[in-house]
Amino acid sequence: MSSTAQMSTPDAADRHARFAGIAGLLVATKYVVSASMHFADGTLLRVLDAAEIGIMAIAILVVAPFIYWKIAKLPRHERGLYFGPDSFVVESMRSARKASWAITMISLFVLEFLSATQSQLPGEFFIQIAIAIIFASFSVSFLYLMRGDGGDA
Amino acid sequence: MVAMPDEVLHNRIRVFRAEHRLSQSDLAQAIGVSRKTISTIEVGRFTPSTTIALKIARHFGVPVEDIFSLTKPTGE
Repeated sequence: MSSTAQMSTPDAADRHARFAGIAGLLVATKYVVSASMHFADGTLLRVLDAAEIGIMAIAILVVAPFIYWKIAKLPRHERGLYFGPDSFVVESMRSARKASWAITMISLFVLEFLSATQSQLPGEFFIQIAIAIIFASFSVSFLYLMRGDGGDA
Repeated sequence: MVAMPDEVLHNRIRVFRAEHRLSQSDLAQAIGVSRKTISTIEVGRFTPSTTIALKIARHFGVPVEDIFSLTKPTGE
């Protein structure tokens, strides 16, 4: 895999946008792990605790190169250029937000019903699941829209 | 003139790129967008803003109508 330093700025912009989507999926996974901790104890709880920290560390490592690239590598006048309001990346984010909003609304109704029937579970569990759904639905929609096509011909 | 609902935005970016021996990345860099923006416009997945359409036309030194046009889909 070629590094960001070797690829052109327009290609690096696409790559970093995809990495942001992957980081969103990792955050969703972190919240699923957090929610599953309500069902665990003993060694499993310690493993999940460590997994949670590990997943967040990976998520930070995934987005850190983007922040470094944008601040240190891009000239100041180009920082807003590749992610401008009329770019494909921003349009994909808008569409992903719409899809995520619809999925989240339906999920919240389901979670509300479940919270009434599963009253032994803490409210924190349902909030963690809702946050996981928000991040997962946004990231999956975004990565789907950013899927590869139209290679350089 | 009001566009008919069955009209689609056709573009000749690929043709102009070939004539100017430009890759998608080169064109993207020249007008300040990501490569994905150019590739998705080319295949008709993304409708460009007026600003991007004008920047592409200006880059090739032609009127925007030479690159973008509304056409009826073939096979009617």
